[in-house]
Amino acid sequence: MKRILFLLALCASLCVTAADAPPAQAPAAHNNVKLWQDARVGQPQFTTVRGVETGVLIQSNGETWRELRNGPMTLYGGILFCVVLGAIAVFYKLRGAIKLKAPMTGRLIPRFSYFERTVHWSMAGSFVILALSGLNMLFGKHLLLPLFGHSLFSWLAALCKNLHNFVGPLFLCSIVVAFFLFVKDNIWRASDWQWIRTAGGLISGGHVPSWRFNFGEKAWFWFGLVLIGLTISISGFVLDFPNFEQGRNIMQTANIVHVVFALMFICMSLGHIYIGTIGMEGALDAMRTGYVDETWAREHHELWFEEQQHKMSQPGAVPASGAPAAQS
Amino acid sequence: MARMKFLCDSERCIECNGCVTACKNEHEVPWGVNRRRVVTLSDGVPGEKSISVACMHCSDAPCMAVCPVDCFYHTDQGVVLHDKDMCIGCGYCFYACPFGAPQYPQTGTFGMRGKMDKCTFCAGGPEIDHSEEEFKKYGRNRLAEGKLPICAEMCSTKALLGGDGDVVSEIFRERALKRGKGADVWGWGTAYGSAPAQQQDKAKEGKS
Amino acid sequence: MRFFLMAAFVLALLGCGDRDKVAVYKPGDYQGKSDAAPWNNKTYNGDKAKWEGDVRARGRLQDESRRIGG
Repeated sequence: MKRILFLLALCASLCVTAADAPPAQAPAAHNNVKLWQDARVGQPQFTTVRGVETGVLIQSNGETWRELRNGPMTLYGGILFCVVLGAIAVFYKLRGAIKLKAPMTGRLIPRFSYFERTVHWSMAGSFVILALSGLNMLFGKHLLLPLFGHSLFSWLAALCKNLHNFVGPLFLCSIVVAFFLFVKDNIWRASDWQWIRTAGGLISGGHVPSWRFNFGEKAWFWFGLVLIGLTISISGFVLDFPNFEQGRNIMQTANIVHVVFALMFICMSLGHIYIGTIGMEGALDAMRTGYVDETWAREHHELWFEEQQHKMSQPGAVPASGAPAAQS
Repeated sequence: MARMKFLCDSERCIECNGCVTACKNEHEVPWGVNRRRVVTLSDGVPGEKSISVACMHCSDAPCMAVCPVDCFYHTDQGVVLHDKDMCIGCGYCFYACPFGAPQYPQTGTFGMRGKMDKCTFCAGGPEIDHSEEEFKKYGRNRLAEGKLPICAEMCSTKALLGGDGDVVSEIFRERALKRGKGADVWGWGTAYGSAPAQQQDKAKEGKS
Repeated sequence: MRFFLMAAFVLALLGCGDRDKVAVYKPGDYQGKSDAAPWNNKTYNGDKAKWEGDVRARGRLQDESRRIGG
């Protein structure tokens, strides 16, 4: 009997020491610091409430997002936007519009097909809607809200948000089509070196021969349309469709990427819009009517012009249908 | 001047989800919206703790800071409320809030967000008190009836306390003194600050 | 173009007049939007002191040790 009792006591003590052995089981402090520190890491815990990330007690990265968005992104984004606008205004004041040197011949050659123009303008239209509504989301609170008051501004912001969400996918569609449409004319050519060396003759006014698109247009194509366009679309889709149950982390990151790239995109587009409208004589006509004057083609895209002339002189060449016959 | 606060005693919360249910019932919130939820840390492991969490009515509220239409406001009592007529459902408050308080009834296509909904500390919204519109948009306004949030008032173990910060902290202080442990409470210190120096020292001892 | 620049300039200037909208709560400092205080209704008729007393009393009800006399 004594022996049994002894064995039992031994077992019990063994159990106790065994239980005490792993450091994790050390007598818990009253304040479970580890537990609370882990709560801030943002790992999902147990909860009966169904939904996305309902098990995350504290998601700390939102604070980072807030600091970035309300701080540098708004401030430097606004400064960048104003500086670019100002730079373009100064450039226009100093350099003026780039005029044609020789008189127009009146002979027109086709530059953009009807389909190309449709794609361009749907891209441009959706871009402008997206840019304005997006700028409103970031700066509207600081610029328009004091002017409009809360009720009217929220009405405008709701309109902007819905436009932004629905036009966004349309923009992606148009840039995908535009990519395939224009990519073959945006491939690097040897003449681009000359354009880079002379900065396109933008400042000097010198002449740089180029193919259908010069290097400036190619840069806008590859950096703007392809790189930024895709980045912005992907990050935008993450934000636009919350029904794929993506968490807050990825949405915060997507928002930062989206805003930073969008601001760069808008600033680049200002340059594109400037040179395509008031900055250069005859540039807008190319995209509006699809035809350019021979003088314009020779002065801005000489190599392309010669190529077109060569094609036209081939026997059996048919002028593009719908070409306005001999313009006055 | 009262400053309204929630406080959840993790030593007492038994994860009954009574607060969650009471909240849904009191405000008749739409399906899929959870103004309050109970999260269990280290579930099934010795030392598990449950916490009932909702909008913490922050003094420096991130939702308020990032809202692009500035639809949030603090009431006199420090309750964070928002105007659903202004809300555009952009989701920014949801990105910024560390507690996952902002909720969206997903009624639109492709999960498009509706107007944000969150805990109001049972203080209704900017509509006329006790009006039908106020109830429809924000739920019951118990504060204007001289009552406190239903979740805290009906908590069976009195783990969740709500009301004037002075009163709540007094109750909790007495309780912690009496039981001599468990001052690690779900409150502002845990949510925002680092652990007090004393606790950090203990943690270091535990590790070494 | 001139109109556009002027508009941009005016907007940029408006930004300078922007009030800080991050409302960090200061006790008793009501910020902005129109909402009736909880004592401004039929139940309390603007009696702030009575409301505060009621809410405080209600808050103390949460102290079960006091309620059961422990």
